[in-house]
Amino acid sequence: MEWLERNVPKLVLAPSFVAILIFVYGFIAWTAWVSLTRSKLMPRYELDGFGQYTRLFASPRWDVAMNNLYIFGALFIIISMLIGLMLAIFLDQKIRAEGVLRTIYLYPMALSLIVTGTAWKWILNPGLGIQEMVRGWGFESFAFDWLIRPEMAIYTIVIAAVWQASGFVMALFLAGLRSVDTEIIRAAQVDGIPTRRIYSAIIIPTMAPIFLSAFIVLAHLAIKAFDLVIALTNGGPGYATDLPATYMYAMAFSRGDLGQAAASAMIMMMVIFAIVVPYLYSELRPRRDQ
Amino acid sequence: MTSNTTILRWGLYGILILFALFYLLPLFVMLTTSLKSLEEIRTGSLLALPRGLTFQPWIEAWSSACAGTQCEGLRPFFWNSVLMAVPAVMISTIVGALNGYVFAQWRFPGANLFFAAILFGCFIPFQVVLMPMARMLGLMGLAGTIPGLIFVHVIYGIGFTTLFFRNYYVTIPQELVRAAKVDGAGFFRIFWSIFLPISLPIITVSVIWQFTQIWNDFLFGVSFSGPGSQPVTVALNNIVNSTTGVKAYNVDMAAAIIAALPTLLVYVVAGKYFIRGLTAGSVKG
Amino acid sequence: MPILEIDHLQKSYGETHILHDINISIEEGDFLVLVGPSGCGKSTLLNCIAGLEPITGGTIRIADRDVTGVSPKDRDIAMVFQSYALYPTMSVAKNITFGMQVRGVDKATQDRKLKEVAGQLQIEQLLHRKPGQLSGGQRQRVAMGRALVRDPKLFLFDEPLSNLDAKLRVSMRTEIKKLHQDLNASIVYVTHDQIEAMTLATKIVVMKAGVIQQIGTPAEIYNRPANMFVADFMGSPAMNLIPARARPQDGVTRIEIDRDGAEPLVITDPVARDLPAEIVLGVRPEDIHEATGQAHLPENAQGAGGDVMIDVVEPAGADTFAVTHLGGKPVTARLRAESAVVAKTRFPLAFDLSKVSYFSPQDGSRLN
Repeated sequence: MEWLERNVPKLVLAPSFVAILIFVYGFIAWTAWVSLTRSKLMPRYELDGFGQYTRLFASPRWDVAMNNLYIFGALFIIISMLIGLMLAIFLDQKIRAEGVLRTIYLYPMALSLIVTGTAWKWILNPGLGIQEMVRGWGFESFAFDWLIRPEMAIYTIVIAAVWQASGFVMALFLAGLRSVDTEIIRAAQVDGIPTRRIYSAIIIPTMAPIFLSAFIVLAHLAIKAFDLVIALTNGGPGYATDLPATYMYAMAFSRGDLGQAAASAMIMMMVIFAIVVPYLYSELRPRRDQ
Repeated sequence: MTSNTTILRWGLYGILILFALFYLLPLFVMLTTSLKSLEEIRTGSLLALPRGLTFQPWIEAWSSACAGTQCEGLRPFFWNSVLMAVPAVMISTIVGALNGYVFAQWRFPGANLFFAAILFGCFIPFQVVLMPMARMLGLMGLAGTIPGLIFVHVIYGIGFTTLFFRNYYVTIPQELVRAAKVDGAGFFRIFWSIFLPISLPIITVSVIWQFTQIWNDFLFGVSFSGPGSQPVTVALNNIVNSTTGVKAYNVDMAAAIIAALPTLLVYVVAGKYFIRGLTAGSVKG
Repeated sequence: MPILEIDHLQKSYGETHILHDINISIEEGDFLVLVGPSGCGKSTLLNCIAGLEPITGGTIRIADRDVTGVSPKDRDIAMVFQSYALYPTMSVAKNITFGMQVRGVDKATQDRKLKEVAGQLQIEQLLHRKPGQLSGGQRQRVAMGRALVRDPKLFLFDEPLSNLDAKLRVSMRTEIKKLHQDLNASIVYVTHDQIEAMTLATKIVVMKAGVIQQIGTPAEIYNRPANMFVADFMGSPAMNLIPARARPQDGVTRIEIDRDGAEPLVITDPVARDLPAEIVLGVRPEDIHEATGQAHLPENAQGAGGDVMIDVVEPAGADTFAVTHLGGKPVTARLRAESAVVAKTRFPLAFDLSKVSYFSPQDGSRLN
């Protein structure tokens, strides 16, 4: 009874502990193991070195997927941050109807990426979408057919992803702007520093942690991007818009190549951890000291 | 000087409104398209308002559109999503509340390490657990079932719910638990009488976050569901990519709106808590 | 029968020792104050007594019962916390009766006791409010009510007044003292405020870095501090600690203190003392007197002093503080308000040698 009383907290955590241990860490270990075997349609458990990784890096399709990830990731992160920061600063200027505007900017974040993909697929389709509309206005030679051009299709994914996430970045930055000590801003105003300089020299530098967390979130979204590609281009034309996530899914569930799927999943995880681990480490550190 | 600032101000509003239009455009296009006939879509412009309102696409999207070979509209899948989301949200929130309560108020040696392990769990790309989970669900006899999906969403949701509650409860002074201990209350009594009554805001945040995540999920849905248990996002994708018959854009759009409606509604009603979840879930994890 | 007996208590986190060999015993009706600078372990000790923190070694007995491994709820104690720790969603009445409710006390008894305590603390009109609607002082009362209603063997107070403003703190202090007298309750009280310790305690424990420095009545602690730490910590302004030299001579003791720009000051303690050559002389500001013609000197201060340079004069209403420096240290004297002392002049001062303390400069311990 005494024992039970003292150990209730641990007992309450126990199921979660077991679950996380098996379903997160155990499963990662399983995938890591399989990535080192010759597994095809069915998992095999005899270790076979790094053959799957060599095959992966030699695969042109994986090459395209990683290239797409760089293009998509870089553009998505940079554009979302720029738009988010700009909207946040503009909204911070005592704007009327700020609440309404904020609500409009942020609502895409509540939508499923499948819905977003469906909507943009319709808007961007050359036959009846924007291209046709502009041509209907008299610009007969206007072309906006990125969706069906292999070398441009990845940019349509950038457009849709920026549309979905930039409002969220705005919300993060706005919260950051609002949390800057107003006394510092007043002091700067009294010193006669122009508004533009107050932002560039005082407010934005103090928001460095928010830039960092916005970056982390966006990078995380980019690497995990799956639904949007499936709904918007389904990886096509051909496999021109494949990302690591869709590559992994195709290998695991339609091509029956578990070894390749496992190896690509491990690479994804390593990329994410390379970004997130230092961040989490620095986030947890000061709190432990308290 | 004043005229200069006035122009600046107008420019400011101009840009802000332009962006508002950019964000609203897809919603507007979806809505108008879903109310047009196919004929009007083919002949009219993308941005034009519908000339003759028709609700036929909505009726079709709800009850007769074909997803693959199944032609029952979104309705059965919508209910699948409800049956999946409601229990998964409830269970993961309850578990997260208790976990967060322990992490914040009943620390023990090693608890910090475990908490860090949970945090890392929030960040893993789910691709890395997809295959073993598929096999595990098969072993448990849950493959292709709604309980299977509930299980998966609970497992990978408790990381975030634990984080929410832990960060909320950690702001409550430890003396409260000490006072209650001296008063003779135990672990669950303290949770029930003291912590639960102050938790409404964070419960709301957790419920909204989990609901949005689970309702909008596609990866787990497409990987682990069977024909009878597909969630609405998977069905929507199937309807849109269905190759049988004429491409019915208006039905696609109506279906997309139907699939988006629950989370959109939550956002409009409780946007404040939605944002809190987003920022809490991102800034701190 | 002692109400609380702590025997060889040890507490450590891994290699870090928080409390070293604590031995304390108090009788029923005692008001024990644990005092010391922050981080000295006094709050940890209180939490150990409450059972909120496990101890590494030793025993704790409350009312002659070994409670060392017993959980807080079974120790027959009640506690008042620094932040008051009122349950935020419960009304004042519910806050006070929660403990009884958890223990299954019947409703009639609950109501009777609630009424009794509310009357005692004059909070009847607050019973239906929530803690958020109360002022700091009112919360403090409710927190005390929650403890009082339990009628425990031992009350524990953890810096209960530190969140109140200065004025309220003084009046609540008086009220706690009155409560103690009326109820004849046994109390352990933690504070970092030495004035609170002096005014409230029947017994004081001075702690530093997890070690007890001295246990005694307020008068003992004040008049005969066991070491330089206690001397410096208790009393405001603090006791002057002046480096000096001692020389036994013909049945008296000569004390020599360096002074700037003049011969060393030599004073004569009429008692022969066994002191080392190097000492630290401890003298409270009120034991340094004006040695001009019109002042009345205590017998032991006659001739024990000389002219010193006054650096600063601080009139404080009832008293005037004159600061000089001796032996390389600033020295404060508490003089009468109407004293004619003027800064930057020489002024005669005399030490009341019946009240001085001598300390060892090596380990700070008391020598007389």
